[in-house]
Amino acid sequence: MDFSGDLSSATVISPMNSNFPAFNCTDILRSIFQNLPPSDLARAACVCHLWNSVASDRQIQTRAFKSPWKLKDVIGNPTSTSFWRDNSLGRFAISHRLVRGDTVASLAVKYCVQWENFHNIFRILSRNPTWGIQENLRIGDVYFWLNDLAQVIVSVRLVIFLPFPKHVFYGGKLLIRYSTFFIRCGRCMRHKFVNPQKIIYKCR
Amino acid sequence: MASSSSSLPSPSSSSSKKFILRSSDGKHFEVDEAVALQSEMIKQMVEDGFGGDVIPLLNVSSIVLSKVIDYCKKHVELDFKKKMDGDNEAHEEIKNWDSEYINVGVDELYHLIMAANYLHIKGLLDLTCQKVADIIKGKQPEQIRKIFNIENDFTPEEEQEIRKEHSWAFE
Repeated sequence: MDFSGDLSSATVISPMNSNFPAFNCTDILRSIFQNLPPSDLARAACVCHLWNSVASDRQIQTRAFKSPWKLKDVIGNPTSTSFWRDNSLGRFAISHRLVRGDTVASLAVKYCVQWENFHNIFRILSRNPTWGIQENLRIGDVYFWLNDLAQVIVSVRLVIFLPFPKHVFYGGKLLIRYSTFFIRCGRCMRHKFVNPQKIIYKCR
Repeated sequence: MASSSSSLPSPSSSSSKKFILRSSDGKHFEVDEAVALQSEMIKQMVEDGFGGDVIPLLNVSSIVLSKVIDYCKKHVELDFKKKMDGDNEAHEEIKNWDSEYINVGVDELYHLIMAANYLHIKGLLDLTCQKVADIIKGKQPEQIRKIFNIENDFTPEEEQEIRKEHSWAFE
């Protein structure tokens, strides 16, 4: 990365021009940053020391992260800032074996990695027969794209209703409790949106 | 400009109390009570029993103040209309008017933010902050610094580290 450009442009600014105290005021910066999605927030953190301190504020980050997912809270401290990147929540949750006490938020903190192994979700659910796959899965949006091997990938957004209200991570206005997970499958395009169970079985 | 009244009926028509606002450069603006009370700061002053006729606004120049008064007037008017005509139509009008109003240069935007912050006009502060956020969106740090004249106070090492930490946002 070339930083020489940045430095020279910084020196070009004359003291007469640097007259934006509004953008040096923490409160106003907070109000501005509240309107930014996580990726823009991260870039704003690279502008200067003050912006960095405000944009790295946990409250602001959490808010930006929560709003598209309508999450209630994020627990714990992420090990890397890349945790805040868009969509990571959709990616991690599938691979984790849910145990009592887990919340999506706590898992989000634990796994900043991408996982696309859809088998696990079946295993999770089948090992806990009381959770009942049928009752807990609802099918949502379906996406198509090509992978590296030019196979058509089907991504189904599943809505999973978790049966233990204590660990609810979604609090909508209607008190509907769910989160959305992506299920990707390279083999069963034909079974795209018949029903989520079928996809899982066919690809096992 | 301050005394011109709109064609629409206002909730606080001629009978209502008037306030005189004095800008930092000494110009006077006469406004209706409802318009002045859009500012939480003025509201607080009035509640605290500020007795004078003229409210001095030391941090706001006349150019900015007249623009701020435009905003407050329009919103008093539209709030009134909202009550009369129902939500949807007025909501749409507020949105259109706001987006037209906030279509200003960075310099003016900055002065509006300062004024909105000083006068505690929440709607205007939200609007201006949203506008700044919209400007920031999708931009690289270098561009942001240039637009807002922000000095890069990182050392090259610090900058490298911080960019590395946030590298996912630059992909």
